[in-house]
Amino acid sequence: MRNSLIKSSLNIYIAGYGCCKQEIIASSGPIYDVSRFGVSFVNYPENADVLVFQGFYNGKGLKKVINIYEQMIFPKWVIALGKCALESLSYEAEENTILYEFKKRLKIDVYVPGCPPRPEAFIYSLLKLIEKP
Amino acid sequence: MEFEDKKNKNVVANNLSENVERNLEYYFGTNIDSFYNSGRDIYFETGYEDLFVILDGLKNKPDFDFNILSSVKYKEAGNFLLISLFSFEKTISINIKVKNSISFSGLDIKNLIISLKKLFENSSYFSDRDYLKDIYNDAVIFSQTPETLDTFDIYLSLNDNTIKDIYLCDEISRYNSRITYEVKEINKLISMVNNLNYKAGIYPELCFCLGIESLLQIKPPKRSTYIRMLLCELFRINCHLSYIADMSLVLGNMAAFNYALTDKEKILNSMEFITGSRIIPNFIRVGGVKKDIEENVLEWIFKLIPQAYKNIKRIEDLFTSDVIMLEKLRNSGTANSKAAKESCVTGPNLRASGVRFDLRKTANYLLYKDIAFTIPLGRVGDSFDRVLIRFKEIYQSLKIINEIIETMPLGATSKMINPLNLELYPARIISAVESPFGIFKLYIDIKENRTIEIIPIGSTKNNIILCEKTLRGCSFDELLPVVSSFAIESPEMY
Repeated sequence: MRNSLIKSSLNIYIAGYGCCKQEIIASSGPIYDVSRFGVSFVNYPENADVLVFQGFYNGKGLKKVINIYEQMIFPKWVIALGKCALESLSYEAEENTILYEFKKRLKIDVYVPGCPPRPEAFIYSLLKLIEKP
Repeated sequence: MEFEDKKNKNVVANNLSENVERNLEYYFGTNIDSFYNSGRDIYFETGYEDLFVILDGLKNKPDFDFNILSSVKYKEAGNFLLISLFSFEKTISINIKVKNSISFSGLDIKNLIISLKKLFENSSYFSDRDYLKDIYNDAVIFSQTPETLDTFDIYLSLNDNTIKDIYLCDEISRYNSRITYEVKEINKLISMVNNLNYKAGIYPELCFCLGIESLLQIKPPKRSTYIRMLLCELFRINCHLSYIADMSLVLGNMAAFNYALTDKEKILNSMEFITGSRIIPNFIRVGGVKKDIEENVLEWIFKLIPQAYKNIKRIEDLFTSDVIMLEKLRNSGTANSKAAKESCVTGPNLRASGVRFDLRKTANYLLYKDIAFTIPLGRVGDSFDRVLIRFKEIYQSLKIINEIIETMPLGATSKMINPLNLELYPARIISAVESPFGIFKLYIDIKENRTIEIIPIGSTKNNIILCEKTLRGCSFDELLPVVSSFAIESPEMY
């Protein structure tokens, strides 16, 4: 019940930078208008329900994402968006590395392929997340 | 008559670079080798022991007068060091690579930067400055906390409400440093290169193809060059519109944000009609372009121009007529032409400070010399000028697109080349293009066995230098609009 209430008004935090972020910003514009599904973008992880993991990352960037994820309050979901993010997750990480820790701590709910995925793909992923039991 | 003038300008530019080349041979002939001159970019290699003699000569001898350090590219423990100098009088840049160097450790780089500091003021900005995090810790603004600041954290040292000192920490954006790729088909490398500028992927592609074409002495067909120019200008408009959208978000003008995104979508659609992709084009090939543009697409873009002009004028009115926006932007973050030149900023940020320098006019690349357009200039160099210059550049780009479509010749769109059979002999090239963020350069090192190493040299670091200089002494309220107005976002930092 609580989850379904939260899913009716999702707050999204976008981590990282890159081409995918442009398409996410385009989806917030008047043509795609993602806010009609009750979705809004926030700048503080404490207020966020969904973390979007996208773009270019080095080791320090990944550490930052782990920190952001830990600051978020339960229930929380993660969307991995775009080629760069999916590629970095597809490798098997060695123990005691940042990527290993990242994969261990973050549970990714929806994967969105594409370089970059179109705004429609991002909106579709959100709808899939809302439908998810 | 006009044509002759333009021709004379190019001859003068070539003469200048030849003069510099001759002087270099005269003064340091025995110390330098692997010489390469592309007209605007001179490249040579030297040993570490001769480096400071050459740098001193280039700065102080009146024959050279290369007094601005534009970039220092190094890879710790990677045997790589590339130093670029620039002269605004000659509009020529000199790139020096230290050959067969010792493997650099962090300490070596530190010593090098300390030695460079005696010659060039800006050199300290190119070293590792992470120790400043502990000193400037009165206030910290993390990346992505305010919208639009994605690639750096801001560390501040404050005196009440005024900024005493500032450090823009770009540690999370040190990503795309070096690509080494073994190629069978050279065109496949293009899909790797275009990520180097994630907002305008066409410019790295173009830069790479122009470099390889100059090496192999391939002249692409005229129609393909026109298509390249058309795409470049569409991408320029797209970048400037996203900049305007970001600025209006920072200043809290949601109407301007929505209008900018709506017009951006139309430009993105036209790019999608041509290339098949909205952001990453993968369209330019060595010796031409991937495919031809259909006539109905050209007609569609031609009809779009007056409508786009009208809409963008409406957004400009929202900026210029709103008192709150004007109060926030005017007389804040003023960078005069001297400061802009000293930090070697290029692109719209330089032109906003009143310096007339555009590679489309000064360098003879593509066919911009056949098209009539002007270089808009700012008056004061404050945040408002930096916003206004983008609007003016959009109008000029629309004008260029109009002329391109009207005068586009018929014919082939690419040379009949088999990319598998291209003979690539070992060479080093530097090619440059004018991107919406400033001059974008690629250092291309072709090694044996068709292995190509690419290192991007962008203007992001120079923008950071200027931004830090202008923000000292500003009030805390001005911080966000001023930092956003510099458009510091590109992953080609290290």
